[in-house]
Amino acid sequence: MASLPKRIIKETERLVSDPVPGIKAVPHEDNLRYFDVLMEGPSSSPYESGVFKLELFLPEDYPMVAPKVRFLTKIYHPNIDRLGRICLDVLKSNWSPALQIRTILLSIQALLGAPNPDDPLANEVAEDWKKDESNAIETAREWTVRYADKK
Amino acid sequence: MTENAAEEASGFDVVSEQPSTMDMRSLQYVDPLDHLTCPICQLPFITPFQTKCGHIFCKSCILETFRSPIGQKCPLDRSPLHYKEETDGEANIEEDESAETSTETPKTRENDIFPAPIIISNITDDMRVRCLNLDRGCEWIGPRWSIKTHLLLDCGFTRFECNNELDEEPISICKKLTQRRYLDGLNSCPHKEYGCQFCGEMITKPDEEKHFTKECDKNLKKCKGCLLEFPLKSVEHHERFCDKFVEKCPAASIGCDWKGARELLTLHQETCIFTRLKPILDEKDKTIGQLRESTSFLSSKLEIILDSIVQGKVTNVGFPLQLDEVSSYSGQRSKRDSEEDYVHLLMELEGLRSDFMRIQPSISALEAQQQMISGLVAQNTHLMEDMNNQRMGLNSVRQQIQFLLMDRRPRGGMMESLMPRNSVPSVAATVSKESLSDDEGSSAGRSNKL
Repeated sequence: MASLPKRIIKETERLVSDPVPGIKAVPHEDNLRYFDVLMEGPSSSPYESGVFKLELFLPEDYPMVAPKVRFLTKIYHPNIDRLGRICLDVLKSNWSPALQIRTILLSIQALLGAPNPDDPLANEVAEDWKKDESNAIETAREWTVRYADKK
Repeated sequence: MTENAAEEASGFDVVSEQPSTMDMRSLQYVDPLDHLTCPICQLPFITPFQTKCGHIFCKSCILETFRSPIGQKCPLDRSPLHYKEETDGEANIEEDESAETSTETPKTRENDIFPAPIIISNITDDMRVRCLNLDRGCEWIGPRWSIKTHLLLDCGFTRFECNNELDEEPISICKKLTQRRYLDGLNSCPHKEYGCQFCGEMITKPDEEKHFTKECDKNLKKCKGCLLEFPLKSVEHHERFCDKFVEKCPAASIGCDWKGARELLTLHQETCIFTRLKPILDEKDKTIGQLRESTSFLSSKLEIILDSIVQGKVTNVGFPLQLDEVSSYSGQRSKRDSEEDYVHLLMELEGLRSDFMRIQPSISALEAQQQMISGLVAQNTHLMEDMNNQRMGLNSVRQQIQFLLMDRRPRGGMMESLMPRNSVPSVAATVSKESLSDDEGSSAGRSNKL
């Protein structure tokens, strides 16, 4: 692999020295483009009590293409499917090189706090969410307790 | 030898076959400024370009974005930007510092991105950077614009190809990359090997320092304690454990003057009074430090409280008594009380007196005003009386006039002369006709009588 661009080194340094509150991203020792992420569920959301595992990979063309991010912890959310893939505009068409790892992770954390069932990735979940929101929120809370780590 | 070259720390090299390109992005800044960094590469701008929407990026960064799947959009606000890439040597401009932003051709003007104001590149070019040969030992720090000159002309750690002839047969040019400090001031090739003055091993000039301190077994140095000789590379390690090495007593900080070989130290410590005192004194020092800290903390708190009392924010700081009572409270109250009361009354009297003095002039002013007002009232009644008299006079005059008019009406003529002519012309005309006819009648009557 080609040498690591200066920008990735800088971003990694900053993630360690000045971490985003509630988010921890650590690069693998053998592959500095691959990050293990731990994300606390945002407060006053059904994911509040849990800490979720994610993986983040910076492709060769980063920052000209978006990082690849996926939930490893099972999560009940209309915009996250069974494989943990995330439906978020800034990860796809709306990516911009001015965005960073930290801003992307913050956007994902914000998505947990504001689910959008009108633009679903997990169809059944979105249906449930639209039909009976309070019940769906209860399910999300149960899943958080069952699958996510405790805060 | 080649192994050594590979071992060398990374830095800046000048190689004849390749054009000397310097990676501006690998520079280390002494104090980077957040607002002068490109949002894309996160480094201080290099050849800053501005978009139509007012954002600034490095030229190479924004052009790379345009070529990527993101396309010609501003990375910060996603507004579409038009840019037609020029083919004539565009790529060179990115690398070449001399083609600064200011000298862009007006052709780029029709695009939505164009060179940013010169002041931006001036500021970023003035930012202080470290030498690229920092890992090799160069501690130079200077403005970014001068780094190239420094690397090419000054820095002793920049590696160049050694162009000296080797003495060996067949004669050839040594091409090894060598730091400038080994090349300067030499006539012969610094890679010519010679025997080490101590061990005789073949070494070269660039390796000499390393050989002496790390490798050579015969470069001896005396241990300061046991006076035995050891190779330089291991003498430090030996001194750490040598029994004869001269040491100070650990209690030197509190006054013990003893100095001696390490092996005698334990013997000394048994008798040393300072050593026995040291733990106690250390403990005391610690306590004093803690006390000092808490005192300063308390005094700062007290200051805050006193300040707020002065400003009237706090009236009593949790005490059942008022604060002024607390401060004036004393054991012998009865005797001092009356005295204090007297003084207090006197002071109050004094205060009242001064108040009175202050008020007095305004009282006299008020009195004068009152006098004036009563005078005006008297004048006013006088005038009123006068006016009534006048009114009565006027009425009597009016009655007289009416009486006179009544008297004259049958004769008419008087009326006409009293009235303004133009205000009632028709009436006047008729009246005058009547009077004329009256006159004619009377004159006719008169003539008839005649």
